[in-house]
Amino acid sequence: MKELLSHPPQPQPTKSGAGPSDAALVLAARAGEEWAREALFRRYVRMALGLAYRILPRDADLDDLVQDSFLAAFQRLDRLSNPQAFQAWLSSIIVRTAGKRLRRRKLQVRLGLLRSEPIDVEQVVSRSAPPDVSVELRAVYGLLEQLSVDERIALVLRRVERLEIPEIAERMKLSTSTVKRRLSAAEARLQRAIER
Amino acid sequence: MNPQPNRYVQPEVSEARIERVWRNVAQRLDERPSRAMRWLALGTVVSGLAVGAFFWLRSPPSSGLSEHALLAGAKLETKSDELAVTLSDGSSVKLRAQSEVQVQNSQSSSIALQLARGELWCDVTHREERKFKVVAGDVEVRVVGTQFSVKTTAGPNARVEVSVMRGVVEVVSARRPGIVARVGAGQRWIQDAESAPPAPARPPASAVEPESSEPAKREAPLPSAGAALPATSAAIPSGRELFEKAAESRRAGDAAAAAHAYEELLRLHPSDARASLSAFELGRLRMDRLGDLAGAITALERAVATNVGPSFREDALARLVSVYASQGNVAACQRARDRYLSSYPAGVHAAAVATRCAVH
Repeated sequence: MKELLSHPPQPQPTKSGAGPSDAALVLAARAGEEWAREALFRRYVRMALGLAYRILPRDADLDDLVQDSFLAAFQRLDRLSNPQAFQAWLSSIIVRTAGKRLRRRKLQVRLGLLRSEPIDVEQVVSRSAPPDVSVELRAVYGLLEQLSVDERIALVLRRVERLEIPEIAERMKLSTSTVKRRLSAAEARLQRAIER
Repeated sequence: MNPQPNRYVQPEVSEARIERVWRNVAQRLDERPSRAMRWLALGTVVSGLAVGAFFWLRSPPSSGLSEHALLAGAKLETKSDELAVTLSDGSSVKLRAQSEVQVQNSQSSSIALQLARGELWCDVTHREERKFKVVAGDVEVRVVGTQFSVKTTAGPNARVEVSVMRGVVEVVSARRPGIVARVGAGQRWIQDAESAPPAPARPPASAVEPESSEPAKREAPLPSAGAALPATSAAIPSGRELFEKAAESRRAGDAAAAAHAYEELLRLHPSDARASLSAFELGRLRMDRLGDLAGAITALERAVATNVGPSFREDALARLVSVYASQGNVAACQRARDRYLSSYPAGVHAAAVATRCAVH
């Protein structure tokens, strides 16, 4: 915290340097302060939309998913044991909400209520990506629709978000060994796709 | 080392989109019944056709007309709960409690919903190739691309009410054939049992024409949604507007404009719920971005004095120590330091604060 006072423009408790710390906002939001909820929302909505998009890139209900996730987060704020960890906690809610939607969508496809359509990789992966990153991302997104829901999410969190296995386990609420198994299956298919 | 791959898989995120998502989150937070109430709401009946329509509305537009045609005529009905559906283009429709709507037309080029009773809230994305309308009794609301609600009340005091939160809708009534009323954001159109007979002349195309013959109902302010809307008549901006203006200016990197908005909020709305946080933010901006240490002290002291909240108070006190130290005001720095340490001996800034205020 020494840095906070010697370098005021970069206060430590405020990751973005743009206001109160997450912990402060969470505590205020818990106390029923609407502005604090709004501040948390505005701080993390881009992160939330980005993460949701990377898991469900062609989902028309992305905003709906993000709304549901923020709503769930705000309604369960009292369960967040470390208020400073709001971002990771919200990410975890987004990941699980996305998982539910993916499962529901798979069911709809199975019942014939929805068509399964491939992901438009050209549209999803930015043209500004370096060649090696682009190859990997294209392989990942070309493969996603063929994976199970858990494999898909684990692969995105690992290959796109670059999370470590314990972090993936935490986000998905799975054990690390389960995550390893899911990742192993997905990675094997990814490797084959890249080599093809 | 390569940058994070997630940088290269990003959605398009506009400010308008963020605002829309926030409005929906805030609205749902306000409306969300308690857990117990939600259990009671299990009594809600949504017909099987409604579930079918739910899937239909969520299907991509290329799903095929035959599927759409099957669902034309579907009826959605709510009792004690609400039903929200999202269309594939991002438009959303919410059927309030105790409401009933029938899908009259479900072609990809035209959607028509008949509101039989209750209230239907719509947030519709404009699409040139698709017509979207809501019919309530003899009133037809044609959507231009907007957020609005239609409410209908049956009985001897039958009434249809159209409220527009964003954009514009066109309203036509069988009672006034040939007349199209354009209703804009923040405005309301009402037709009730006492509505006047048809006007002889057609109004200008862009004019708002409330159907009610009662002058008091003309452009009546919206109810709860009003606070979230741009003020249409107020000369003084609200605390919320100023707070949002400050946030926008900060996002745009204009610290001076943000500070000005906070100053205005504190001047015009000193007792607003956002005033304390505004004082804190103003202090932070003056300190970090504007180099106005004296101004920062005034704002931070105000934040502390107005009970900004325990966590912000701690940050504000720590900043006061820092700013007094930067000014070289040792006595004030020591007082602020002692104030911080007595309130937060194990606070997150305690270690740093304890080392400040040294006499050089």
